Amino acid sequence: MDLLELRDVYKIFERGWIRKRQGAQAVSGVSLSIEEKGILALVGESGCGKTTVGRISLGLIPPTKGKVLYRGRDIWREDVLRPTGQLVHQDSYSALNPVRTVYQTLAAPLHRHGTPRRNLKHEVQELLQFVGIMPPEYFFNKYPYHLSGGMRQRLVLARSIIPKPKFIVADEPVSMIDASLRLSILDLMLKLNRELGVAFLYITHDLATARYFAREGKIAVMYLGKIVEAGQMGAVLEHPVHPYLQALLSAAPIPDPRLARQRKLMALREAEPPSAESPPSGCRFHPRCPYAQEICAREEPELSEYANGHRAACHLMETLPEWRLI
Amino acid sequence: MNEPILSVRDLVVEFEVREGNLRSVDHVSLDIPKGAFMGLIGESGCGKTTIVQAVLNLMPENGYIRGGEILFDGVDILALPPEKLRRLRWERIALVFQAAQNSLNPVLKVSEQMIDTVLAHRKMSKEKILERASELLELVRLDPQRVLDSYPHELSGGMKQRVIIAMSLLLEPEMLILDEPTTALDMISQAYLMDRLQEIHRQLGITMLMVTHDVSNVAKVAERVAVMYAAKILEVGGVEGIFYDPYHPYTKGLINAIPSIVGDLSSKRPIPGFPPSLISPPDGCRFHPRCQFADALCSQVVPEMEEVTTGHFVACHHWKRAREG
Repeated sequence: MDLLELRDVYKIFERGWIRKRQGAQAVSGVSLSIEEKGILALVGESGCGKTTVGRISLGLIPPTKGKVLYRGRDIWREDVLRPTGQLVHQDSYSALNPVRTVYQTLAAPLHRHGTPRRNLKHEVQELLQFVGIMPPEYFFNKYPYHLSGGMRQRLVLARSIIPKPKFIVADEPVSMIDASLRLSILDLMLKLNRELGVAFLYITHDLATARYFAREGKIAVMYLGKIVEAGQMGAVLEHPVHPYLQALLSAAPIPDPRLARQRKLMALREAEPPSAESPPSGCRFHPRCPYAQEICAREEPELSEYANGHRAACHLMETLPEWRLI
Repeated sequence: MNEPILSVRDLVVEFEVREGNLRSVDHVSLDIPKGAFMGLIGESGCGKTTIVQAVLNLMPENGYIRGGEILFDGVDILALPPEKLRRLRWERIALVFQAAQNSLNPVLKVSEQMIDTVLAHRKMSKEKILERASELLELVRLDPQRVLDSYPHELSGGMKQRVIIAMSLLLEPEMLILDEPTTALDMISQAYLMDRLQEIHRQLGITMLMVTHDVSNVAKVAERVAVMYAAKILEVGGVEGIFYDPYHPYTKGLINAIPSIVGDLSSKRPIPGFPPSLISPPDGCRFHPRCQFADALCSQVVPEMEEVTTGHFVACHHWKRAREG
């Protein structure tokens, strides 16, 4: 049984305070699952609904339609989820209480989760050591504004594992971290995954960090509220099927001058995405897709099996030209 | 390599902050050859944006240029009287700021802003200006008819960024400086913008300086690259030299810390430690507390820039060892 499953989830946000009107459909029929101790990278550009999926997965907001299951049980019927999921987001500064020291930030939740007072110091020490904030005593009395972005995100991760969560939703956790340190935060998250068995939903716009973090896990690619491709990370990146993912891969930065110059950016019919509030008919990517045919504007493609465990939502997936990065 | 069009000599810039004096640029020298596409990379807070501000003498209130020269075409920008400086900005050197999407005037149509921009600097008929604006908008792959008649809110972030770049070229400047041009843009819009910048450079032969933390974008478009760390420039060279054969341990570490969508992942690793505070930076080489090659010399003596191969400069006491290991 999967740890967490979203079944055909929709989220429609209402607009207006007095007279409610239907607003953006942020998520339109998303199904995904995370195994126990698994890693799923959810990749998409801004406004595609990936953050909303993260919030729904944690039970922070209810889906408009569809189900969220934790170990097979509906979290909106039974209160089974709350202590087991944690959220880590992009801005570590606003995630921490600015008037609490590092020690207080960790000691308070430790105490609430059952650590007796006399053990607090020792446990805080161990926790800081575990996440690489060293030497721990040196940081006890520091405030969040004393810490660098990388240190703060380590502190947030340390705090998040106190309730012994089964999974963590990490929403762009490294996009505000310096380039030379990004991998160290991803490595720390991998450590939590391997040593503590915490499952991760890693939400990002960055294919390169997704590949690094979820190299042995799975990827799901979202476009305008829908999942357009999903499967094992390695298999999906080797044979991307959906033209949107192909376009993303043709645009993703490569830190190698020769490769970066040889590669051709896929020529989309429209460089800019349409508004999420009024998505196009049929396949939502069709106005930009260089391969689109008449059926694409008319019928919405289902997410269907392309190869073993590798699914894509494209009418033309059997007939598209073979993919090459360069 | 061409003669430098812009030459930064021994520049020192400080900010007065509550905690004391923050030296954001510390004795930096940098030449940008005429017609080159130069990338300046560094992590946040390393001082790269401060260099840009100093180049156009656009220091914020608490920032002070304490020393050095900035020669543009042989003239020291820092010594120019205000009116001459005003003419130089945008007419000879155009600067596109970080998140420039937001620097468009929200209540004026793009066409009006194009006209205002030109008229602030020279006399020209409106028809002529719009004609030139249309050409430039086409160069950045925007539909001039539609865009000129739009208000900024009718355009997406990527489109606005390209409008600003077209606008920056209106007065045919000799140099275009871009500070983090891809911030807040989607990946596809980013790649598109890089493509356009490359094309502009190819077609107009204009000197470009792109300042960014994004190592991968620099790999794609720059011909020369300068690497900055903690207020100092540590290495300058051709793009292939910097990426395939770096001399400075920091450059090496940085490139090895950038994940990619291709290639081996197991060799990728972060640089240990953290960047230093610029209020009390380490003595000697700024990178020594994080460097595997550091010894007593590194913690005492600031390394000088040396030319190690033609056009490739590095400031490291141990560049020979660092390059091999």
